[in-house]
Amino acid sequence: MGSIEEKLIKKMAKGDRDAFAELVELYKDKVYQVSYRMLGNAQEAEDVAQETFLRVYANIGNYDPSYKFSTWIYRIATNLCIDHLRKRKQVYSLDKQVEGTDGLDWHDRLADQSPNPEETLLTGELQGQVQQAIESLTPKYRSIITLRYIEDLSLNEISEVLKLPVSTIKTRIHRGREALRKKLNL
Amino acid sequence: MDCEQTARLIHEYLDDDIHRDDELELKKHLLQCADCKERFHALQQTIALVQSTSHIYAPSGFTDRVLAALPKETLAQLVKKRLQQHPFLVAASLFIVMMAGSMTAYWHEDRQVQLSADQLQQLQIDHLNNKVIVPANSVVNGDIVVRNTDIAVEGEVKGNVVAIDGRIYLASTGSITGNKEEINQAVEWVWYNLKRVAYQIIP
Repeated sequence: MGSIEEKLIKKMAKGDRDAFAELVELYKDKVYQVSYRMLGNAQEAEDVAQETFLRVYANIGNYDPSYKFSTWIYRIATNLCIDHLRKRKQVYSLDKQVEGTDGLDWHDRLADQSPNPEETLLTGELQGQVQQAIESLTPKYRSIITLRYIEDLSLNEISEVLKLPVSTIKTRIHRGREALRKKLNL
Repeated sequence: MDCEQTARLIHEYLDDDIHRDDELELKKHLLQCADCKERFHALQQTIALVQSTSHIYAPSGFTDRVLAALPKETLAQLVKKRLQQHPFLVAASLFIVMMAGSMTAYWHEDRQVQLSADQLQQLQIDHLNNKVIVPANSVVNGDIVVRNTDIAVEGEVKGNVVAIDGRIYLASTGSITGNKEEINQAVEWVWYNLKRVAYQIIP
């Protein structure tokens, strides 16, 4: 990536918002894609991707230039996705009335998880199957498969993103591949 | 080599992380074992399928929404930004403002009228028009120096007339036997102050 990116980061560290905007343009698709693959929902993916960039803006001072910038931004994004999934997993009673409302229960407030018509059109049937197979993995496998095969990161880079030893990444990628194979009936 | 070992080698192969010897072993086994061969192809297909999923792009307007969600810039940040963008301009304008300020301060400090002459009683002072007058038909022996005022010479001056920050008006009836000199001190003041500041900066 080199010097343009370094310059942008330096400017951004001084509070230059135009430099930040350029950096968002450079990374928005990568970050959104990871979020979407992890969460499987366009609205939540956008929320998490946006939050990722706000964290980047607020914590640019903590960025360690000895790592690639992409490594750092992927780490923030995957951590936020995993947090998000963890929160989503908490059990709520959907029939419970929402506090401070008159007869509104959680059914009404729940985001529609099914893909919208646009998404269906874009992804097609096979694409949908692959996305479903990825989503069927638990988050720790899902993040690794996404980074490896959709974002095309090397095992070493994934190990830096997730702060896990390469041996762990290998084990998980083996199991992830096997699980995907079964899901796709291959 | 059994099929369990082969499974491990298949994954090592897929990760591009396999020993040459192991690779040869693997290929040998795959030629013999149909189950392992099928599994190997299935895994390769799985990877190809995942890789083939169309890339998803961030929705339009994403960057604008991120920028809109940033905390508002405070006045201090805006000033800081300006300073960082144009450090030289800011330093230069600050310097000029301070110089101008100090100079006008010194300039105005001694604006009072000064007059020195050997025969003061001969002179008239017109306070209203801020003017010293050498009356017609009078003769002044010696030099006259005025400061911060004008001088009108209607009589005769036998000596030099010097006006510091003032004008000398010589009437048709008047005459000056010595030199007539107007000194504008403003230029000298600027020079003086520049030197003073320079000496303060360079010890």
